[in-house]
Parts: sequence; C-alpha cells; structure tokens
Amino acid sequence: MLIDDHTIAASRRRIAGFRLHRPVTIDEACDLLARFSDGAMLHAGGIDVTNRMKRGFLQPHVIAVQQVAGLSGIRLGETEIEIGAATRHWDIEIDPGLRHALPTLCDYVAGLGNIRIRMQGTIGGNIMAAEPGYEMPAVLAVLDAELVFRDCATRTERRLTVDQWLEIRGANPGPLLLTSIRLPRRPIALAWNRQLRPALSLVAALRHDGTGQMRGRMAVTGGSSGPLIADIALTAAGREDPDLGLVARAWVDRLPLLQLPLGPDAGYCSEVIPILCRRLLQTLSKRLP
Amino acid sequence: MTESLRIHIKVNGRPESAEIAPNLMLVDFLREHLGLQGTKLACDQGACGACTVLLDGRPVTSCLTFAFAADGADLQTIEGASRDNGTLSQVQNALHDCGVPQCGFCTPGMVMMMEGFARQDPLPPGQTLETWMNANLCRCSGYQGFRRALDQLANEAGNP
Repeated sequence: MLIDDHTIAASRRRIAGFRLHRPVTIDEACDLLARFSDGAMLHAGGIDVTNRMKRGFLQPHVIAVQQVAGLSGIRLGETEIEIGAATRHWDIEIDPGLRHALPTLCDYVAGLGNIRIRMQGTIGGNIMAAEPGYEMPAVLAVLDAELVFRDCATRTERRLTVDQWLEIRGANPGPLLLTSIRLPRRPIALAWNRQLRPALSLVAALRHDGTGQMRGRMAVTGGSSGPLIADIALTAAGREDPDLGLVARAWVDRLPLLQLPLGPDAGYCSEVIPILCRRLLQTLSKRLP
Repeated sequence: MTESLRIHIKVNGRPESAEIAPNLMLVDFLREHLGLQGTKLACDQGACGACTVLLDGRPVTSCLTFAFAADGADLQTIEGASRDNGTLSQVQNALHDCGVPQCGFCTPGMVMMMEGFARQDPLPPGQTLETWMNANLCRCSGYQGFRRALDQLANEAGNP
C-alpha cells in the first residue's frame, strides 16, 4: 500500500505532492537544476525548505542533494579551507582539523540555532535560505570566504565573494548550485556578539595585511535579508588607540544602516551597534595573532 | 501525479520497508504507518522538540524531516529507548525518579534528546546536556523537574 498524505490524519500542515529527484553526482544535480530551472527546490538538510513548503511555497520538483558525492566534508589545504555546501553545522563544530586551523569558526558555528538545527542543517542551506537572522553569510563575509558555484547553464565554476553573491542573488543569477565554501587559511582574529540576537548580532574579524596595517571586517545580521558589511583599515598605532569607542564609531559609520527595512529602527541601531562594536574590538585586540 | 518511492529504514533495530509518497513526513510515517505513537507532533515547525528522534544517532525533528530523507538510516524512537530487557534506561529512570512528566507530551522528545547527547563522541568543548536541552520546550513549564533529573544524571556519571 502506498502511504501518502491522504492516509495521514495527524499532520496539520500538509505539503502538496512533488516529484522527487535524488542525484548522486554534481553533474546529475546540475542537469536537473538546469532542466527544471525555476520549478525546482534543492533539499539538503531540509529545515528551511520544509518549513517553506509547509507555509505554502511549493515547487513541482525537489532535488535532494544530501547523497551527492563531493558536496559534503571539510578539506584542509595549505592556503585554503574548503567546506562542502552540504556539510552539516555539527560536522563543522566537531572536525578536529578545522578546530586546529580555525577554532573560532568552530566555536561560532556552535552558537547557531539549537543542537537539532545544527545536526540537521547545512552550511549551504544557511547561506541560500537568505533569512534575515541567519548568521553564516556574516561570518563567511568577514573571513573573506568565497562561495564556489557550479553554473548549471554553462557548466563552469563561478567563485563569488559573499558580497558579490549578495549583490547578484536577487537578480535571477540563473541555475547555480553551491558546491563549496573556500576560506583563506591565515592568522585572523574573530569575535562576535549575540546578546541582541535575533534582532541584531555582530561578527568581526581583524588581521594583519602584511604592510603594517590591520584590516577589519564587520558584519551585522538581523536587520535585512543579508548581512550589512563594513571594512576598516587600522594602522598599528590604531590598534593601541586607547579610545576604542572612536574606532568603533568610525567602523560603524561605514555600515549601510539605511538599508534596514526589517529589523530594529535605525535610531536604536545607531546607539547600540557602536557599543557592541567596541566590545568586539576589545576581544579582537586580545585575540589578534 | 506524485511519484512514489520505496524506503528501507531500521527502526529501533528492526528493518522496515514501505512504499511512500515523497511528501510524507517522518513523524507521520512513524505514527501512522508503523504505529509508533510515542513520538509526538506539536508545533509542526521544528521549534519545540516534541517530535525528536535519533537519525543515525543524531537528534532531528521528525516533523521537519521527510521520510525519504531517512532512507537507509538507523532510526531510534522513544519506543526503543528502554533497555533490551524492557526496563527503563538511565535517562528514563532519572526522569521518573524526579517526577518530571506532567502532561507528558514533551517527555519523549526530551528523553530522545538526552539519549542523543549520551551517544555523541567526541563532544566539542562547551557542549553540555543543559545547553542541548535548551532546544526542547515544555508547555507545562516543568523545567525544574528536568533540572533535577539532569543533576541526578550528572551525579550518576560522577560529574556533579
């Protein structure tokens, strides 16, 4: 007997029928994505996709990519760290190599959602869901990560920074399959503040750029569909500046705060973000290698 | 027309196979097809944890997991939480001793979360059973009982 939703009495939010595809290679997944184009949803961990389907957002085709070879796992190179798009958050938390190479990223991921979400959800899903409170795009942006896509129309690889992805994602960039995330492997300090999550959370990174300056990147999550990002360059003297409040204010002034349609009001943000930023600077100055 | 597929799952150590529709949720497969009604459906959006089961040893919300996603997996539900001889597990004993269950609706999910925690090896730094339990809600607000049970488990593990 076929078990379908007509035999189920208990489920209160039924999901309409769809055609399921279970590719096992990236090429197969790409073929499906190109063929069905706008009529398909990708399913990896499935948390956001399923909740969206329960809210009525449906597509006739669902492409389940959890079994696709090469989409999961963490590979440590000499100059880069590569994380497969279908890697679950928990696997990032517990990976011994990553914990050795970039322990603060593991600690950051350990603070996402709750344990069930981290056990089930994937890093690619967190990025592609484009939900205002989701934090992976923010931390990847400040770590200068690149998102590696397979362009399923041209069969070519496209490497985009998080900033570039945020710019093009709303403009129908075509059938793109996120395959991995690549992070430069270098000394970097990372700090975050989630005291006001989900309304606001901040993450920032600071590193030496090899020319006697320090480069800082900060991302604010919660106010818009993607993180708001600001860069700052500090001289070595700036690092020792006792008035971190001034540095924080200068950094925050570079944020595009006027693009906050969904979150707390701009007045509140202008007051509280510099305070949180100053705390981040205190932490970063201690963690800077 | 929705395509169907056959899945094979080991549930509480017992192999199961069924022809399902792709849109069937795991919680419905367990409750309606296998008759394992200890797994509860509450919020239906992955927030409360009442439907928690262990999928290959990891706690997941069965209300947000399609049955097809469990194909080939080893699944454990509350019905498989007790010991092989039918007596209560250490976690269940602690909850019983501390008088935790009130309406009982959240209890299966709480037990499965605790069982899931006990199975993780290795645990990353900073992970505690208490932080894991933040993911589960009790609408009777019986959290003090759960706290006592957690303390009892910690004492039994020699880690008060």
